[in-house]
Amino acid sequence: MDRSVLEGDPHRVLEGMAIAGYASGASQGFIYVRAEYPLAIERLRLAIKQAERVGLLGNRIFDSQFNFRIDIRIGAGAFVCGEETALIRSIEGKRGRPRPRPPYPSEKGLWGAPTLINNVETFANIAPIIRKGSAWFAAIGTPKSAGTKVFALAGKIRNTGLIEVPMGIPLRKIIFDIGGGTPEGTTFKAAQTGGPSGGCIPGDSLDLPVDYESLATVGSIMGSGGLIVMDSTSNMVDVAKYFMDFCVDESCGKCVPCRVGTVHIHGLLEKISGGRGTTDDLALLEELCQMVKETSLCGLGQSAPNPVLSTLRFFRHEYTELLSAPEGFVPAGAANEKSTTG
Amino acid sequence: MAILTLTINGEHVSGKDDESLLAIASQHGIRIPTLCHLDGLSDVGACRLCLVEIEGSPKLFPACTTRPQEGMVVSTDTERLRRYRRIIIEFLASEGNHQCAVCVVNNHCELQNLAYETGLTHVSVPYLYPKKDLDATHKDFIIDRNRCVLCTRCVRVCHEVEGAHTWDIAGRGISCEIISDLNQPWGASGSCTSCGKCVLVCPTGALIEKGEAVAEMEKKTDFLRYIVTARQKREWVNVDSDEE
Ligand SMILES: Cc1cc2nc3c(=O)[nH]c(=O)nc-3n(C[C@H](O)[C@H](O)[C@H](O)COP(=O)(O)O)c2cc1C
Ligand code: SF4
Ligand code: SF4
Ligand code: SF4
Ligand code: FES
Repeated sequence: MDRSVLEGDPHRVLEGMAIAGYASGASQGFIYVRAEYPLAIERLRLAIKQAERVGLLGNRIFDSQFNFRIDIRIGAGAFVCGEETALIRSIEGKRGRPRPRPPYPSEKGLWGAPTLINNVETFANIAPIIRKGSAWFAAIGTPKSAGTKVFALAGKIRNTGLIEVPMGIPLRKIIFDIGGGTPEGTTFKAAQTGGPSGGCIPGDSLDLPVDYESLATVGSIMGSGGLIVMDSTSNMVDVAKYFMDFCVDESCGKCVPCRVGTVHIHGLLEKISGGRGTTDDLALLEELCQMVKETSLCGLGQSAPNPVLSTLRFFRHEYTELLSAPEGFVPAGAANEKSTTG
Repeated sequence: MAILTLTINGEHVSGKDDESLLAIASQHGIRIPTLCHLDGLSDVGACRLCLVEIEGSPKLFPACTTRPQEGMVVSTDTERLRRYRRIIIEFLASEGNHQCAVCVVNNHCELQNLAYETGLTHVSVPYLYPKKDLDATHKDFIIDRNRCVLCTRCVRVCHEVEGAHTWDIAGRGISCEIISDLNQPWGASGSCTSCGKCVLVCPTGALIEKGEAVAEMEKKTDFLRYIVTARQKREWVNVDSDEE
């Protein structure tokens, strides 16, 4: 989602950063972008050169006293390097490991200096807001979640791809009007937002407005705008296991709860989805999820249990059915695969 | 620097605003379990054993890196904290291969002590039995990664106090490991001065001296306080010398 902005309209981000630099008194900006986005890097480089040539970046911008330089820093693609303190360390050339906050970057950030750190979408919004006024921006979306949001629509849905919608749009509109609904013969089951840090919105909440506050009420987040649709063929324990597998791989290993806890949570999910879980395992799973959420150092570990907690909240029966799995029991969502494989 | 008053476990205490909650608690005889913290080294907030509750926030805060605020109400020993500390020790126990009965620091091990302190009676998560190496190439010392809890005390003491920066962390998540000199055998390390500081600060039997028998090695970390204080106060400078 952010990549599409960097590739499609890099000048918007540069302009937003320069304005932010002017407002906060910074003279140096960095764009941290992962190496896996070569087109974004190429276009950003070109855009920075163009902006420097016409005096929109560099020294004495518009003949003023204001100087602002933007450099690109390329990351190796570790998820944890999106966490702000890890990102700062990575720009400094160190290992991308988070550190406890406070001090927040605004107090002590890059090389110990006060640092403003924002997302691509945030910077991309700045210039249009200044040009058209805050009233224009606030008129889009809801009072508390103003503006639009870009989602990457994926999963069991007919039309996948990037969409930009006003905040507060009902989920139903995204799934059915834009996405065209789930594939033939299946029904909508849930939508996962916020990726491995988020949670799911169950089928009976189709009229939920998609904004920050409403997503929080169902225990999910907006995040970077991933929106994965699950239909009646999806197994929610497998969904949770998939995201936990990701977090096991991406944990930086600094703090004990996330480094070891994610491995044990994944092991328990594996055991339960394999039909070998007991009620004690389910209780332990819930306890470990709560513990990892409350004790981890950074946002990665703190949010890693969310997909499990969320699927437990709305689809608990899919877990409990597996616990007492009798002989020949077919887990939820596997019915179709079973019938085709005989 | 200002002196603040706060409440820890119902007791009114005072502390400096540039000290950690952990330091203030310990000055008042309130013990908070720790593992990655060591007086004299920088704090990293990694083991999460020292987490405390602060009134008005649902979040937990590591006492070793949290600064006090006027009127702060801190709890260090609630039922929830005790439960979470026990799980942290269970995680550490399950993550390595800790065969205490044949360990040279048996009965002098901080991990063992923490297990007693947190009332750990059994480990409810499965042991992970990782495949880790033992490196005995150094002439005086051994690193047994099976017993490492990744507290990074060795990394910090070697970098911050000895100035050699022999140790680093390689890998990510559960496959993190302490390595010497870009993953060369310790014995081949060009940076290690063989000072032994890392061995003394290691809380477990991961770093040990050669030739110690089972349960014989006791680690002393006091030296660190002396060195750090001496440096801060410039005690090694001979004030009588007229070299200048
Ligand atoms: C594990 C983790 C990964 C993250 N990844 C990203 C990312 O890829 N891109 C991003 O913009 N923010 C990411 N964030 C959030 C940033 O750390 C930061 O809070 C955010 O970009 C601030 O910008 P905003 O206030 O403009 O939203 C991540 C946070 C965490 C904890
Ligand atoms: S929560 Fe996970 S990613 Fe974050 S510091 Fe701890 S181990 Fe690293
Ligand atoms: S013996 Fe001294 S120099 Fe060598 S690794 Fe340990 S602390 Fe560093
Ligand atoms: S070797 Fe010892 S000091 Fe170093 S990280 Fe492991 S347990 Fe800590
Ligand atoms: S002692 Fe504070 S986190 Fe380890």
